[in-house]
Amino acid sequence: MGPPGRGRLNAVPRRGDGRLGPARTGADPPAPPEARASDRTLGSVFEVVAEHPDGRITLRFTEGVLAGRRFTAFTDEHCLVPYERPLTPRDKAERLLVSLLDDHQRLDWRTHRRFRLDTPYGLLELGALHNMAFWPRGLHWERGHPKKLHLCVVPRGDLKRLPPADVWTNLLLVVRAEPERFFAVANWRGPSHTSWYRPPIAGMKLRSTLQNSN
Amino acid sequence: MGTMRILDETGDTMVTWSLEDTEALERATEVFEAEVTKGGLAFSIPPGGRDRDAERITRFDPVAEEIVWVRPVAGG
Repeated sequence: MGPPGRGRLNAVPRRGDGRLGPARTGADPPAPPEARASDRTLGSVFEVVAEHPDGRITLRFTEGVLAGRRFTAFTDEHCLVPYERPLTPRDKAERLLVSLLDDHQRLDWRTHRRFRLDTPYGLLELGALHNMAFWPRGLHWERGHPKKLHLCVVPRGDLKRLPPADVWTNLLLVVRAEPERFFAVANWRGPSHTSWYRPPIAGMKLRSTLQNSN
Repeated sequence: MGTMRILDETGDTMVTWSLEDTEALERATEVFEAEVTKGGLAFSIPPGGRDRDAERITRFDPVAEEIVWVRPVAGG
């Protein structure tokens, strides 16, 4: 016999005789295979009494030392679902903007927080609020005019209430689908000037086209 | 199923509808009209479409996959 208590610690329920016996010693005859299997499944007989909408189940043990006890837990399947952090407004805005960009623009946005796009009036760089770089080109842009301008166009309303990427989605969609609308309101200045000019750039194209046709 | 995104301080507020769900369709139409009244600009974007595929719309299109509402722009 071992020290006091050891036998009780090793006591296991046995199927068949329903008794708790002392720890087996080396003198005990080997247990049959089915008995050894039942020793390893201590208290594992249960029934599912409820399935909850959130993926948890409630079990009630019907045999073993846990008989009569109830447990509620997530199933393995639900435990394996990776946790996803809820998207912040910035995340949502970023996702939408990136979904609209092509690969090159996306790379520029992720590395420099700016990207360029072609417009009927020239090349525009979005990313610097109140100071968008613009390289005008086309018949409307006469020799002697600066090769680079800065434009200031913003979504109406309180800008602080829009995540930054939403501001660029806003301007991107407008300039893509309705460039006339965008350039008609754009304030602009030359790179060496600090004051802004109000004449619309789109209007300059119309004037230039008229001049060329005369 | 269509999705309408209204850009706002939460990133965007989404409204979804399907052609089979009359109630959702009516709700989406109401939201569209309300945004028109507010002066918003709506752009329809085809599935997987980029910025260059965006098309300005002024009437609710039930078969549109995605509609994005933005604010009108002004000189800064």
